[in-house]
Amino acid sequence: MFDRSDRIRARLRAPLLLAGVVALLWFAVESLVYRSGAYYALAAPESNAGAVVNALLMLEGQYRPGVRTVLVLGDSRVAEGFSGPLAGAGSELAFINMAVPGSTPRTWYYLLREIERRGYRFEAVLVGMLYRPVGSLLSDWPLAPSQDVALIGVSDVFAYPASYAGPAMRTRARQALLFPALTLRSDTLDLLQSPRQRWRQLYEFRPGFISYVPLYPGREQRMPQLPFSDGTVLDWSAVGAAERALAQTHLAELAAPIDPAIRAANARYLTQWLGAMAELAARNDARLIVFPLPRGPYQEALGATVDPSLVQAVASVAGAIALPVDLLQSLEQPAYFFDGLHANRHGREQISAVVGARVRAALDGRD
Amino acid sequence: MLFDTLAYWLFFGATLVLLACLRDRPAKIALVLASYVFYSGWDVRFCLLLAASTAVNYGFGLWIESAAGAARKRALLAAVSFNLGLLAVFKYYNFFIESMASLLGIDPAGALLNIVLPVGISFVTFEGVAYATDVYRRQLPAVRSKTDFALFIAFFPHLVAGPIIRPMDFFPQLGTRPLLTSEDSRWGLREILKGLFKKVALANYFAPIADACFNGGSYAGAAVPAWAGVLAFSLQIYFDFSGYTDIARGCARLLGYRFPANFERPYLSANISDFWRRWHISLSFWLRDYLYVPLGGNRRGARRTLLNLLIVMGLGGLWHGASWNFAIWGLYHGLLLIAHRGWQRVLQASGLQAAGARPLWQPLWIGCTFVLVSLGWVPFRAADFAATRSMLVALASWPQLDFAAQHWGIWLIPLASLIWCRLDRQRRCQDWLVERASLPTVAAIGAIALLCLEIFGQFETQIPFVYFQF
Repeated sequence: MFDRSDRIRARLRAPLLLAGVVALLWFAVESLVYRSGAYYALAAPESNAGAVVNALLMLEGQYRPGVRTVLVLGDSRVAEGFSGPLAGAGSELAFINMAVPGSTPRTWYYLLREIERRGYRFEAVLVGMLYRPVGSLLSDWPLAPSQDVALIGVSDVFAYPASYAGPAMRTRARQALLFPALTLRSDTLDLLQSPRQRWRQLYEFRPGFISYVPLYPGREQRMPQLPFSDGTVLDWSAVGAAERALAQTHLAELAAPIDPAIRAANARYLTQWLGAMAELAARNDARLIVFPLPRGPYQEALGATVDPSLVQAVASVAGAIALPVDLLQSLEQPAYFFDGLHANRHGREQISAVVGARVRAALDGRD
Repeated sequence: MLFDTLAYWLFFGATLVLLACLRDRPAKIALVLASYVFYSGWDVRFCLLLAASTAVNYGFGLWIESAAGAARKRALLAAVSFNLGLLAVFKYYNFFIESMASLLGIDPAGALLNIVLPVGISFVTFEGVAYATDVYRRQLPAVRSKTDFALFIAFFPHLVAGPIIRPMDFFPQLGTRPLLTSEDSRWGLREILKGLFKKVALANYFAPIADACFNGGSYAGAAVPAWAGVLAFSLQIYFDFSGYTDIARGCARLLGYRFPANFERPYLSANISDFWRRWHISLSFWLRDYLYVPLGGNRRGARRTLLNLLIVMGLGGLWHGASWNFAIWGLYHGLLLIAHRGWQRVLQASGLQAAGARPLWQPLWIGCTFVLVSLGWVPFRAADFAATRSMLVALASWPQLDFAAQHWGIWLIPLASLIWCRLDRQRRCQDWLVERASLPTVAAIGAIALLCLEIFGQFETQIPFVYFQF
């Protein structure tokens, strides 16, 4: 049935040689442009990959060797709700907030790995955690591959796709690893369509943005005060239309039932990635500290309890310090939020001061 | 398994390596099995139909060859009836029942069949009819090898959307199994990359523009968006179908077989006859050899010739799908062919033929032919008569030029088509790439082409090949 080996070789030589050389060159060109990191310097600052690059540039700008530093990681809630300078005020400890909007712990892990690879060292890695269940599967967070593409490499070819649950997301993850050009397609097209605009974004606006981030005071708006009775709003008359829509959306999200399987999967996800971060931090004698984020503007009024599965997930992470779950519970009021998720200026100030003090105490061994 | 998916290329790579490892006969059997695996990707039940059709057509070939005189003709008639019957049941039965019911004003519900249209059945039918006719005409001996015949019908690169392979071209290729040369590999790679680029980077961009226009919407009834939509569909169908053919030809060549060309820059045709010599060439040849010629062709006087043209083009149109819109498209082209003949006669009679053929006039003829062909795509793409009518009304309405000025991007549609059609017209670059360029140069161009595919390709939504539905 099988032919002689010399005939097989003769048949396959030409197509395989050509395909092999083309594939090799393709890989080389992609590596040169994308995998080397060269392209990420040109990625749109407001894109997912660009947000990761911004975070790394912020670190580069703020890091001072020899100064005791705490690295702060998280999503937009941490970006809006935590100020490094306020947290470190009056102490020798510096806080650098590298939160990436729309990110989850897996991205924080890869970000931390990249930071460690670049030689930055910290006293601690501080992570903001929302002890409120969410309805979507964190492991299959759709933005993740386009954020992580700037942080992953060929060595992650098996582990990274395997960290996703669904086949569609695994395919996207594999794509981000093997074909970064495909993942960054729309960013590249935008660059080719308007290079001048990209140039301005990168070299005129971004430096200003990066230097402004530590000075950012937070937003002034606040959520409306609502009269609740048994979880229902009694009177909307004092609330404007826009604020009402915002509040109603948030309340509807809170009321939506959450599949217990998703809760359990998210708890496992947190344990896995916080554990990986704690391990990575420990290799450089740093501690992983988890602080609770205020869960929303009406949690106190609604009498909502903390999700125990998330508390257990964080508590089970070896080597991590979990700050008390109720640390910021008093801030779960409309006066400290500008929407259903993010703290406003007052909230930001309070969170930074309280968390900063607790972290300093924890690191000084007083807690 | 679509040509623009990773699954197909993994399948193709595995098939290529497997065939190279096998001796001639096992390789053919493996290729037949691979073709059935490919076809089962749509629906395993289709394989049964394909196998049955193959077995019956194989038998018909032997019967036709062994018969003589009237019996031979009866055998051919049976073979053609079987193939057309298969098509009638699976593709046209419900359409004709609904048409009849609509004519008689009765409810067709009880008479309709709940059947799925097998992918590529029209192409399989054409192959079957062509084989039976060639054997009947003694242009080809009936094939004895069941494997060879099964491969002719099921060979996966052309199974679902052609090109329609002429039995006389294909069977001689099964005798010897040539070693794949460097030139074959380069040619195959070139066609595959070209086809993928046409499909993924060009056709898939034009598809949403055409869809937005033909599916109605906020711009329905406006002239400029209607023209943009029609031109976008003209380009979509060309890049989609010719891209498919390029990939099919490239894959076949890498497996050791050669398919004929199916497109020769049809939108550069200077008249409608020329267009049909360049567009879906394998269908044009099939219609000529197996329909136009048996109907009498141009041997039975001028009137009969024109009637034959109308019949052939009308049936050719209907072959594309079970809808009167396709028949209208075919008849429209039939009328254009007739008008072209008349125009030629007028030019001849007036002595202006030589003047009209001067290069100076060529852009005008090419432009006119392109517009006429594009107008023909309206009934082809529109869902029904009403949609066709409203689109034609929109095309004929006064254009709002401010819209065209605001949406300057729509001018890129005709510009892109012009650039593509003019690009490497004599194929010098393409031939150089296959015959003379060094391996590193070919590889570098291939790598850049793949990178361009990644960047310019439209992968977010899977847009099926247009001709898969036929």
